[in-house]
Amino acid sequence: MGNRFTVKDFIFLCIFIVIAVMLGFTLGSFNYLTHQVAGLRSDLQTMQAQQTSELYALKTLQRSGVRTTNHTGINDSSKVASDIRETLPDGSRYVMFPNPPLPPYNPYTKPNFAYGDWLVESLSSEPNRIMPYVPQSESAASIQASVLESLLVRNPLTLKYDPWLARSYTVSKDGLKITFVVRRRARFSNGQPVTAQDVVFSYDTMMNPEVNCAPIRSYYTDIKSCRARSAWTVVFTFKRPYFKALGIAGGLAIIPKSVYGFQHMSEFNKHGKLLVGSGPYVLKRWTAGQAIVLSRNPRYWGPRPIFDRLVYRFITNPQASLQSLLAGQIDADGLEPSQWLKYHNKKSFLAKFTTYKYLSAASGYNFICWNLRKPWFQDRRTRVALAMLVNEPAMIKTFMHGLAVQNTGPFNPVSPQNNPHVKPIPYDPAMAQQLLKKAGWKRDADGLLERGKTQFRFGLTIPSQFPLGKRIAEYIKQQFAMAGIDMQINPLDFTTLLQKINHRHFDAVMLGWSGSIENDPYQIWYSGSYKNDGSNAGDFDDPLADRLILEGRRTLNVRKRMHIWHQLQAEIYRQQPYLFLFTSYSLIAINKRIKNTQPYPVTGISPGDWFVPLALQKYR
Amino acid sequence: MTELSAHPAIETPSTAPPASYWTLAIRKMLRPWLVKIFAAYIAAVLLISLTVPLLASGKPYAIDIHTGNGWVTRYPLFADLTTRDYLTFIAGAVIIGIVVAWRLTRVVEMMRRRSLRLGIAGVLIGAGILGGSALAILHHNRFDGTDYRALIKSGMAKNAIFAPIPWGYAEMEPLSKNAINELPSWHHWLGTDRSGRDVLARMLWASRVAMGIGFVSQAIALSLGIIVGAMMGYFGGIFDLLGMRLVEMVEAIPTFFLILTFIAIFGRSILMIMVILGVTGWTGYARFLRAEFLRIRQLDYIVAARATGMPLWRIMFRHMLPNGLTPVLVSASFGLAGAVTIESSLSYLGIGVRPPTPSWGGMLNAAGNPATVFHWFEALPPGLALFLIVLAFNIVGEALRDAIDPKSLS
Repeated sequence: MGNRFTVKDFIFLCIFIVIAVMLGFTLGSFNYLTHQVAGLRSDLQTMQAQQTSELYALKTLQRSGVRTTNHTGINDSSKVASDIRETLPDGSRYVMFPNPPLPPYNPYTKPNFAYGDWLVESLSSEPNRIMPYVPQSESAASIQASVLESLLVRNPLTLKYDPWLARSYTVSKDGLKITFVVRRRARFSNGQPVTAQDVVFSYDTMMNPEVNCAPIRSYYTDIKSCRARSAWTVVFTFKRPYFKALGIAGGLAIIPKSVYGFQHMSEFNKHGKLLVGSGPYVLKRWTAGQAIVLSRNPRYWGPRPIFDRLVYRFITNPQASLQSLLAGQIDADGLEPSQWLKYHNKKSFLAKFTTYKYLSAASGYNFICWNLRKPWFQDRRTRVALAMLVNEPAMIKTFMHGLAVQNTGPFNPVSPQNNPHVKPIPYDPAMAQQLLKKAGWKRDADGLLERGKTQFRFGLTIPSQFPLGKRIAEYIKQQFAMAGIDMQINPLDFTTLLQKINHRHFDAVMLGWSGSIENDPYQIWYSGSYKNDGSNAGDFDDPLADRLILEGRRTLNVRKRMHIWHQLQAEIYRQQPYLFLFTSYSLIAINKRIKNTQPYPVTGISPGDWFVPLALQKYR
Repeated sequence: MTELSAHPAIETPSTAPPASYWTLAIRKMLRPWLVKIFAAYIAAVLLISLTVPLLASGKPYAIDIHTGNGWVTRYPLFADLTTRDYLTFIAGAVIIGIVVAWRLTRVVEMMRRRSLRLGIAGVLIGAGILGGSALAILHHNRFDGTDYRALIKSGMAKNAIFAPIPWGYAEMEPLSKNAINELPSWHHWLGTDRSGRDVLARMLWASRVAMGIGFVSQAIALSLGIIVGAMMGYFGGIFDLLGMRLVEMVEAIPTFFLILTFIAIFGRSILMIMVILGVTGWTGYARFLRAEFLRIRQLDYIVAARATGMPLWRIMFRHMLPNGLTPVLVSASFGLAGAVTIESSLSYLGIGVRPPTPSWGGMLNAAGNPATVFHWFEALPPGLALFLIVLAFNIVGEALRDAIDPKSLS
């Protein structure tokens, strides 16, 4: 009818197209200009920052009376100076390293040492955020390790604390006061110098209740104050003696105030990818679902980083991860026990890869955490009975191919904290039945255990990307079923699972804790750690354990402290708030093009020592 | 719909009993031997999925157990069946009864046949509902984790009669036996998986998931699609406009991600997956039916029916629907295949049914995924079963389409 295309329509169309094109042009050029201006601005800012820091350095040098001629400002290795580690007359300990310490397995002196190339590794899960202090996942922590630095580093061989960002530190005789002097040449990756102000700012940020980092904060509750005494000197004062005092004060990741100094600190939680530190690498790119790429910090203040880039690819599936390793797409990978069994003595595999099998202090343990607020798990006898229903040695032999060690508590089996006298609860279903009866559980008409109106029917939450966990859960389900306990398995995505735990919406959950050389049990086992999304998710509340934890934290004498930890472990294992499973061996395969990979006795492999000889380099 | 031989192409010679349109179509569909085989395969899988609790179970049918007062005969398998199992049996029996009655009443004279069939179906369905509800009230699900094999070994039980496949889907061999990843043997016909469970038992149980997902989700989708499509096609106008917008909206929903989201929020439930697949999968059927109804409502016999003052539902569902349903049914058979594929993809990604419930996709995942050691005897059966069931649905659907094509029916 009226649908003919007339001249009027044509003209209208033409005008429309012209207007649209003009609009597009305007937007485009505006966009271009904005970009230009933004680029200029950031250039100016970095220039300004550089100049200020240079000026600042000059000023300080001038003030301290050093001649400014012939000063390169980067490497003062020509200056012969030696490390000092001594006890001062007043009984305090003084440690001073004029230069940052070299790794014990020094790569720089190895034959064929070369800078360059990339190191590609896999991460078993993509972190949801990599902000300082907030991560709850190991993958985020391993990325931060290359970007953020702290005042001290732990020597992996001697296990002593060596100055890093700090040039020297002094610990008072009573252990309550630690004084750090920051290295003057230390710089953040944006060019700003690392000052005492930044250390105080980092501490304040981490302690700010508006910042979501309760698990880390729980370690710092014993600090009374952190004050800058001068531009380079900072003092940590403790309320009471704490065995980890030096470790936590010196291990605090230092972040630049110039980047993180928000008007309201609650803004800190809104960011997810803001990661700026003084470390050898900077965050270059995060491609969601694929990889995180760190590139060498060109303005790094310390020794030049060896690799040009560190690439972390997200490969959730262990099988896919092994395939990538075999294809040369990643350089190092942890193997599953069954993969290890198949490959560890295969000639073709050993020709291409270096393999290591060790039990490191950093290996954590797997467990099932009972939510002690739920009616099923409130009685200790019930929890012990549940442990008796699970044949752990057989499980380790069958599912882990013997490549794991049964845990008898929350401490790493190779750590001195571990109490060798705690005997594992035996597999004894008959005894378990008796215990359950004593705890008041009776079989009802339906064949389920029942106490009063409560049926023994609960859900076990497991992370869905953990095939081994599924097998263990299925085995435990069958074992419990024989005793008349109905356990439902709920696999959940890891992020959702963490949310559920933080909101305490679970009956029981299967997870793992990562380990360290000496664990502070406060984070997980102290009754006060239930509040504010703390890590005591199951609400373990035991007066004796609380007392031992507080006492152990105060004890600076190692022998005495270990004695307390041993008692604590016995008490925790007796109470069975967790069903402790096992600590797995680290099974590592590293591509042979990477050299200097031998693991340290206690802490295991250390990618910071690795390098690729020039002839074998792949990425330029 | 049997007497509705209004279709000109399928007028048959008047030899008694006269075959109906559908009888003819199905007969023609099953003519090629390949289609026969695949139809039989679908039927077999359906039958297995209905009866699997009786076929593969670690609980014996009957067993003598030594109690305080001597030997007592128990029937653990029947006691262990859940209300849902029994309801499935009843539903299956009712459907089979109706089909048999349909076949038997073929010979009855035309005029009485319809009421006879309806009567039988009514009685069967009534009995089914009555029996089902009685069962749902009286039957209590029992929780029985007893290891009867260990009981027999210890001498506390004897004379056990086990199911043909004496393993449950979640039943592991004792860990101490280290019977994981075993090759097929007389003891385990298809071997054991990496937790020491019988692969054949899991295979059979997994058919339940596949068939359940396929049929339930498509039943929901079909009923939604038919209702919406019929409304749009018959009424047109504003109904059509709004309906089509609704169709477009639903089509824009990415089903797979919707399921992923729901699983992340509400945890795993096979019922939830069925409902989501049904609620998002009806649009194709609605489009088909709308097109058919737009055509049919112009035809003279509908105009005549309307003129005689027939009620609306009768015109729509008795006179129009049977003539418009055929393309919908054809696409439903492809929809079945699609639903099975989606479920197995979900399970393959490790996010389908709740463990330890087996599904073919999940078994494939387990065979190739966490450990390097790839066992062909674990991967082949579920892979083959999955491949064959999807192929079967497609081949039968295609044959059905050819069969009801008016150009080829003569």
